[in-house]
Amino acid sequence: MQIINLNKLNISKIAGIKKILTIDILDDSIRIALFQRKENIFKLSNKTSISNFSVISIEIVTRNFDLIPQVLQKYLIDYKLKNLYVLIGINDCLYQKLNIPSDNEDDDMWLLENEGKFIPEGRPKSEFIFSYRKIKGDDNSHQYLVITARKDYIENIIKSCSGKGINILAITPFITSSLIDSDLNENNSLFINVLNNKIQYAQKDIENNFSIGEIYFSESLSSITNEDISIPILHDALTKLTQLYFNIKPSSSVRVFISCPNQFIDLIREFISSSLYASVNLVDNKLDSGLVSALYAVRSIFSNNEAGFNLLTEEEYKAGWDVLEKQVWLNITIAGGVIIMVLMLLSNLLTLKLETSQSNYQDESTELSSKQDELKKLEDENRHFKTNLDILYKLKEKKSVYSSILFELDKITNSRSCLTDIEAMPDSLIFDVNIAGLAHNQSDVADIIRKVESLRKFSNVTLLYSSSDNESNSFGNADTVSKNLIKYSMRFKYSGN
Amino acid sequence: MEIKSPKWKSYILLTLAVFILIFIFEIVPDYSNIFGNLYSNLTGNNLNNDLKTCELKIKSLERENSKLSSSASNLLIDKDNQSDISSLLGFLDVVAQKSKITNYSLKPGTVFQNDNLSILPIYIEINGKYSNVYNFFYLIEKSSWVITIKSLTIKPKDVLTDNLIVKSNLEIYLNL
Repeated sequence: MQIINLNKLNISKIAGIKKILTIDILDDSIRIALFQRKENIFKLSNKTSISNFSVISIEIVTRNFDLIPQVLQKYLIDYKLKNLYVLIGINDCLYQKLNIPSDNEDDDMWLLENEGKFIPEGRPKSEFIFSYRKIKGDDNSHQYLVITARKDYIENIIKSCSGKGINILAITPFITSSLIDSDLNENNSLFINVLNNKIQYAQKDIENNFSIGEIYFSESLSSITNEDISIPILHDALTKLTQLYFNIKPSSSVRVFISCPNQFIDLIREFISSSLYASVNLVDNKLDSGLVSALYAVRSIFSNNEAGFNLLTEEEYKAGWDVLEKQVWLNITIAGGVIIMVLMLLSNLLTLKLETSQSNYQDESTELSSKQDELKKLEDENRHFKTNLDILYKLKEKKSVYSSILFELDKITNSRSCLTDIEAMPDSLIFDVNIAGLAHNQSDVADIIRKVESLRKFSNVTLLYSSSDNESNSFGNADTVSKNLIKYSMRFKYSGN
Repeated sequence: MEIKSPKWKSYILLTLAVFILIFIFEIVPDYSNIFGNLYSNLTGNNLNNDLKTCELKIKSLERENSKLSSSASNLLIDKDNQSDISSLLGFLDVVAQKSKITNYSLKPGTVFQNDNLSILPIYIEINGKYSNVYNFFYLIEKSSWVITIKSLTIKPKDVLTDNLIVKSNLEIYLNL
């Protein structure tokens, strides 16, 4: 699971900014463009590609600051915006590269104490405003770029851009955005901004060494109507630029980004490509070539939460970002509220469903308990049936014992003997059989004993008596017994197996 | 994300803190309860399986018990069923007639329990020839009901005559 790093979240994206207006103040005109971010609203990280921006409006007005409020209001109305976030690009400023020794304890303090060094000599400090930024630092020194502009010029811009719903995020030379753009760190890069009277350039290599400056034309391009005259002027300036570049970075490949009036782009691209063997303007070909530096400044807001350099007064700077941060707070509150509500709603729905399941569970539990009782009863009944049936079948198997005894006993007498008394009693699985009878003589009695013994199912034959004495037997009725007959009695065991 | 304004930074942190508190004290207990119940539901599914298994066993046992009961009812006389009692008396009468027993009397005893079975003792006295007596007991022992002979005493009615007095204790197994 990827852990969200809050430091990598972008304030502008969380605030839901989709559109940023750039006002590029040129020598004799103002180029106004409305950029739109095309990224998914849930993509909140700092990383933003140049291709994620499109230009939805571009217009060039004359350099009259009094016209700007009307133009801005028109954008607010036309695009139904509650807040218009504005980036202002200036080109009238002074660039200075400074090396501050690394043993200096506080660079900010050093820069404040040495303010006088950044302004033209003999002019009061109060007339100027400056912004600085560390571009490179090593063990020996820290390299800073300081931008200085006239205070009244900046105040005039701020005043003309003030109004309800207008939030200025930065006033900066757009060309400086290239110096803080992390995407350009992997290659040598050269940004060229062609104005009517000069070429601005900003160069940075992969080791973060940089240079920035301006090359003035011998004559303003806007005043020349004949193209044949403007071409040599441009050539001269570009030749100086390429010589300057070769002095800094000889024989190195470079990516060149050119921001210039559309009518010169082909000429400049061809010149630069052939001179520097460079790849030129690696941005959307459909983009107006004058907007390249503005596009990088806009991207800087969505990548770095800042435009790099900012000549806004502290008060104006706070006012612009205050609206944006308030929007961040509102969006976090709304998003958090929605998430909490969704979670609570989901929890309620789940709880409701679970309660139903729980009720069913209890019903099932009761039913199971009752079924288990029933099952136990049936199992007992089954066991009872099986035991009883087992007993009954065993009883049924051995119940034909008495008829069998009678059948067997019928075999032991003959015409000279008979049975007068039979008793049979079960003793476990074996039966005790007592018999008594009459016989003509003792040899007949012996014959009976022999027959009984010969029968497999009879055993333990015991002769109880065999006598002609009427008194010695239990038979009793002497009158009916012939004196010639012998009474006998015997006992034996009978086994059905 | 670096919020520059201390005011909005505080608001954002406060809002996040409130959400975290709501989450911890409201959402987490709810969901822990839900997940706990989900576990019970999983057990509930086992319960459902147990119930189905139990029902299947009950059906199977009911069928088996029904068969066993039917088998037992073929072997036992139903005490509460008048037709069975009359059938028993009719059976003894038929057996006596078939065996050509001239005279017989019977006296039922008190029903008692043995090995979970109810037994009706009957004292029976019959008169007849040896072969008749043999046939009588043979037919009794061959009946489909479980009737056991517990004792048998045979004596001649008169000396040297073939008319016998037979006394016997029968035990008839009852289906209560």
